[in-house]
Amino acid sequence: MWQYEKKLQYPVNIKNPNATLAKVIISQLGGPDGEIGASLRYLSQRYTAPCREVQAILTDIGTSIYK
Amino acid sequence: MADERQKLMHKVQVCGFALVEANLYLDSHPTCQEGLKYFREHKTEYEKAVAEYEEKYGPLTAASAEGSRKWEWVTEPFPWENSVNKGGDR
Repeated sequence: MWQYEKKLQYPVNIKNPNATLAKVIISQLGGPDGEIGASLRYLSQRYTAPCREVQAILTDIGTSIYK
Repeated sequence: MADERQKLMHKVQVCGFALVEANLYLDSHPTCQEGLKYFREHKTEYEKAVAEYEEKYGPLTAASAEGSRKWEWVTEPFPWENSVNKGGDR
C-alpha cells in the first residue's frame, strides 16, 4: 500500500525549462527501458526472493522511484 | 511568509531523506543497534518537523487532513507549485 506525501523528496527548482531535455527525462522514467518498468520488476521479484532482508529491499527500492 | 514555509518544508525534506536512507540500511542490517539509534533519533526530528509544518500549512498526507471547515488537501498547493518546494538555492 502506498500513500502520497505532498512534498518532494529532494528540493528542485527548475530555472531553465527545456522541453527537449524533458522528453529524454520522461522516457528514462516511463519509457520502454525506464525506471517504472524496473520498479514493477522489483515489486514482482520480491515475492520469490530468498530471504526477508532482500524482500524488504526490493519493496523499498521498488517504491523509491515514486519518491 | 512563503520563505518560512519553504524553510520548514526543507527541514521536513532533510529529516525525511535521512529516514529513507536509514530504512534502506536497516533492511540489510536489521539488528544493527547503531543504525537503529540513528533511525529513532531522525524519526523524532522528522515527526516534529511534520507536525509543525502541518499545523501551520496544512496536511502532507490526505489521511492527516483535519477535514473540519474545508478540505485543505485541495485548497493548499501541491509540490510542483514553486511556492512550496522551491529549492536549489539553499
